[in-house]
Amino acid sequence: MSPGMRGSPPGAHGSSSPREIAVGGVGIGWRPEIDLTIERLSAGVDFVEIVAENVHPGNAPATLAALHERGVPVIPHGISLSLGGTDSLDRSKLARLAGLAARFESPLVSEHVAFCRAGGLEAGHPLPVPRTRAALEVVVANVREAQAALPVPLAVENIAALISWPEDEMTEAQFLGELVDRTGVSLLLDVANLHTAQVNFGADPVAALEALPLGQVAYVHVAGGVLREGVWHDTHAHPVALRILDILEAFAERARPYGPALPGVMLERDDAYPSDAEMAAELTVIRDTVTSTGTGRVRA
Amino acid sequence: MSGREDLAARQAALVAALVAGAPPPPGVDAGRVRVQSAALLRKRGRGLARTEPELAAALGREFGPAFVAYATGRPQVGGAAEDAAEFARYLLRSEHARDAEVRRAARHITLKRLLHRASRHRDAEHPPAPVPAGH
Repeated sequence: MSPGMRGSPPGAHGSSSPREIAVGGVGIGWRPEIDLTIERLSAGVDFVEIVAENVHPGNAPATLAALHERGVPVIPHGISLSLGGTDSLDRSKLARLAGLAARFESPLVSEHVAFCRAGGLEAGHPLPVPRTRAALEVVVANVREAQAALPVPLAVENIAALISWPEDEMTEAQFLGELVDRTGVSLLLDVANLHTAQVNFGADPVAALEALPLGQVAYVHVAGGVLREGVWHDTHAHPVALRILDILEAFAERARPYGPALPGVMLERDDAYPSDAEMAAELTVIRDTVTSTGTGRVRA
Repeated sequence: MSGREDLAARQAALVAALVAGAPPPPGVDAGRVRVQSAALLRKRGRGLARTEPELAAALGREFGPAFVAYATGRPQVGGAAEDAAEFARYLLRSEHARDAEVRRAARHITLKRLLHRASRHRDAEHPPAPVPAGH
């Protein structure tokens, strides 16, 4: 894909075929604590994502194996590869992602544009990479190495950050766009994290959607969070805020020209699990937000 | 310094500020570093409470303050199981050890860790398949 094509629907150029989606519909992050909830809601669950660090390919939980046997796509999602770090990639973490993709016949795997450790210390959480040319070179090299080691395509996610670097030279959309251009990597677009960036750094989510290569989005994350003392915390432990659903709607409107089917949209819930009814309601609202026609005009 | 070395140094400075009590890297908002540092500590504690529910139940409301007292300025070394064992050893030397349930849960964790190490040592004589990291 040439840099000039980013952000423009393929129809505008008349050369690309419509996007083939890896997963569609509405999904949920599979966690052992909610495996029976997911089982009970399975009519409304089109795909699941698993945390790669917490599932062993040779010893998958029975409820997860059953979903796979029924044909529900399972996407391995790494949380500690540190694609934005300067240490060499941990081959055992890549092998885990590859092993899970083989075990579950996954259409793709995903990770974060982030670093998780540095100077011999673990942060235990994805942290933002300075958006500099030098850091982009590091991420490009790491993504290429990961792609070479994986049997399926890789998608990388924009993270929820509390901290920004004074040396940032690009917006997040520019940084991700260049990464996509140079590696062909897909995007896992987290619309809750666009909201996080708006609250915490004043980054306009609609401007980000306009600048991002939406044709490269493989699937989408949605999650709840909480505002504490002016800082948005992406907790995955609160209901999805209406403002985040607005961003999801803005994404759907802008992604629709790329193909008849939209990429799958997935709810992340990692703690303070609600009742089955509340979880089902959130999934329904997400499905309605993506499928509603909309007015073509979304407030920024 | 090359761009890559400079990046490595900046990232190392941030992680040290977040988990080891080092000063924030120049130019990075100190208030946000404090907020992120506290969030990382809470996340680490929640993870430990989830993998060691008996200890969490024994400590009850004391779990949060006890974990913060243990983990502040004490970066996690090794995996989650090693962190749990370190926390258990810390508790056994603290005033929390006056509670019999806490002592019992903490001893159980340290015992599990020692048994795990012993089995690894035994397996080393017959090299096993590599154990993936990240548990």
